[in-house]
Amino acid sequence: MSRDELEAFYNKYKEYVYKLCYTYMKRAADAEDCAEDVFVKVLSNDLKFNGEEHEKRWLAVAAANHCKNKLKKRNRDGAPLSDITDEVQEENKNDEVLQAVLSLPDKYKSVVWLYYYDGYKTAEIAKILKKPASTVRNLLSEARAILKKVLE
Amino acid sequence: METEKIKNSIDNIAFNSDTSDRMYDNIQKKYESKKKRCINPRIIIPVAACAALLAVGVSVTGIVLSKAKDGRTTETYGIVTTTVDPDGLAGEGNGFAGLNIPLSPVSDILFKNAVLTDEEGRAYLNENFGSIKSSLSASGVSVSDMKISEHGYYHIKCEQKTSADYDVTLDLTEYSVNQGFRDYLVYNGDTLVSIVTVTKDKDGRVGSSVSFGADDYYRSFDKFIKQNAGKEIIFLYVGNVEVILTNDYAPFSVGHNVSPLFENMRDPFNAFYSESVVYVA
Repeated sequence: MSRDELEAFYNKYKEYVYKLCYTYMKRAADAEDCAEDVFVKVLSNDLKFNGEEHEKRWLAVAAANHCKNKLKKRNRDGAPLSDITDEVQEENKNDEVLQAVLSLPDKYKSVVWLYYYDGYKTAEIAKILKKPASTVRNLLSEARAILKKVLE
Repeated sequence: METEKIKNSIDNIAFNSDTSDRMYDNIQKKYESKKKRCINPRIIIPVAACAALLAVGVSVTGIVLSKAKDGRTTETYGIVTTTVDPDGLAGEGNGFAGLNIPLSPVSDILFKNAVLTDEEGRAYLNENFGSIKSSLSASGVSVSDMKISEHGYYHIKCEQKTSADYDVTLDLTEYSVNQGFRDYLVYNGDTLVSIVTVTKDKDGRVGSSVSFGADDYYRSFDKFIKQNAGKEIIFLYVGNVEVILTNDYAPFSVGHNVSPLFENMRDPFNAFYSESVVYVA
């Protein structure tokens, strides 16, 4: 990927990847770090995508997986989660819907992101996440039940 | 309505130009730093690739010391592999179609199963040093001056996914590390004579299996390890073929051309790089 290509790719997806990472990491610094790593993966692998849809799906899966691994590693290493409230948290703290999404268990987040944010249908999500469609529908239904209170 | 609310809330996550600039700078720094670690990012040494070689070696005489599953020690003659996870989680049996099919770019490496730390592995080996030595000796392996490597190493398993209707073609390989599976090298004096695999099951029980007898394989493997002493090494399983990545180009032949596997990766060593899987001899 040339410098121009990288810049164009980055500008196209920076917010998408950052915001997806933020829903997992809940802190701006951690979201930045993870989002950067995802773009580095694109560079290191010299990825060639088959169009925009492919790019987006790949990024959604790669970013979510990367964040989940980071969180697992952090839990495994026993490193305490920081309780420092950063600027972004301050700005977002009054958004009840966002807070509810952030507080969802991680297993629901990819499905919620792909369904609500990206607008994919459950059958498409099943293909992207390599899960049975019934599992996706169940996850979505459970997530919706958790979010119900703030969405009403 | 709910879709709109959730979408809007996510869209409202603050992201400003400072963040954007900082991230862009960091991406370039991180990438440059990765590249520096990789002087010539070619690869690749297929090591245990030769299942046949191994099989021939061990069919002469073989013994497995196994305590992995239930804490009992059992001995089995004739079937030994250095590279296969007793639980089938890290090695062969995970069907990879062929060495001419490029691996998908690495989007993620899944770390799974109970973690066997290097310290736990080492402690187990210290405790069971005598029984391992006796078993090898009883099988005709020279162990008068036996030593076991200080550190063990994980393997990254490359598992091919063949979901026919999956249209995201770059994501066809799944990468994972069985964290309950570490290989340690067993030397007699300066000669590699065996590889002991220390395992940990989901209930936390630690056990081991020992392989030996594949002298030709060990000679080649050991030569490579010594040539790369002090350097970072990453071990992969592609099906039942062991492939070693280094950050230097180090030709090493055991009869497999694995270059086609990495056609989709400009920088395989760094693509797979993760602190917990890097081994330094």
